[in-house]
Amino acid sequence: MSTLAIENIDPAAVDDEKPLFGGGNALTLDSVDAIEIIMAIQRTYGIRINDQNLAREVIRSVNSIAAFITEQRNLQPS
Amino acid sequence: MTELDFKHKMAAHCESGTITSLLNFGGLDITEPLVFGISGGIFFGYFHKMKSFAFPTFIVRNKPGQMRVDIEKRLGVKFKTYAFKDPASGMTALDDLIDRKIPTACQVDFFYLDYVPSWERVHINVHFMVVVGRQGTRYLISDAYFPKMVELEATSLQKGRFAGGEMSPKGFLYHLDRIPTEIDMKKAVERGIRKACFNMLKIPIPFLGIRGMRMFSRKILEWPAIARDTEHLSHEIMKINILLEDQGTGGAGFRYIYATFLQQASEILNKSELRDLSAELMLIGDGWREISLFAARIGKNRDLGAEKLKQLGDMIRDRADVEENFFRKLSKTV
Repeated sequence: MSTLAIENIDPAAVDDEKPLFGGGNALTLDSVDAIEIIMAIQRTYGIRINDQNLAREVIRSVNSIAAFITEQRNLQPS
Repeated sequence: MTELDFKHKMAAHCESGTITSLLNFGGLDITEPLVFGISGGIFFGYFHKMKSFAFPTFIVRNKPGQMRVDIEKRLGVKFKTYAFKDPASGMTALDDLIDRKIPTACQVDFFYLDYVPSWERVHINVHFMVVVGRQGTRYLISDAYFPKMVELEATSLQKGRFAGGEMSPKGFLYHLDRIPTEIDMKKAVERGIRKACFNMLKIPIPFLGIRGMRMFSRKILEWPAIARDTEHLSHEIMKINILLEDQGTGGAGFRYIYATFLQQASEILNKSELRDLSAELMLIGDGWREISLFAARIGKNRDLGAEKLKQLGDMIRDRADVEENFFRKLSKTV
């Protein structure tokens, strides 16, 4: 939420499963937010999403982002 | 439903993904990055004043449709193509090919594909997807943008295939005709790399290649004088993000997909320096992604003063410098 500079929405109100884009969730994001999230994942976790169609699937919801990061971290050598 | 034994795969880009899936169906084991790289798909062009564009714009890949032509030249494969004036004949011809179990690529306006969520639909006349089956008025589609096969009604498909406007599809279809028994993949990869290096370093047109990037970095300072108002300028600046990160770019203006091509090329040509260049291009791509983010932010916040545009221009000039150095090194590998 801080990466996207969103101050007027309670994070608890965001449904983790519902789409973050196109309405239907407390938080409705746009293409600018999409690139912010992709860059934040890269900077925070060192995971580069280098396929924009994959990116669209990854950032669909809070749960899909979490699942992707978990999967990628499990793939990384410890 | 008439359905073919066609393996659907998601891809980074619609055109290279469509060509790859047709070649795979024909029995040629080739990846999407190889198709992109062999066709010399990586490119840059800046168009400041062109009749076709209402506002300055840029491209980060070769001309739509050119990948198929260049893949034919370099691999020796053949595609059969069709264009139509009359929508009814165009639909009949497609039905005939599907009934003959030939997976057929269509050029369409993305806007009419009603399996795409409404907020993602924009008018792009050069989207490619493969029709792989039909039942009555429903068509089964392999669209590289989606994780699974999708279905589309005949009315929507026809609207998409015969949309008007710039680069209108005119019902364009193509399918694989033949694959030669022997393909010299090493030679094809080398020719693709040489073509990309020529386009980026030596093409004798001042707004194309690295020179085009430098022109973009200078001319962007003139955008406020061309835009109608701040809203218009903001829209055009935010479009930089769309052109680099959306519309089937594979990310970072196709730099990531070309980096993957170089990694695969290093194995085919047995040249480790290509693996190093692949890693370098991934980092160059990260720089383009920073430009996307910067442009998106200043556009969204209407923070479009001269200082910010100069900063954006400097970031683009920096990409020109690093890409010039990169392509000079790449040109020495083949």
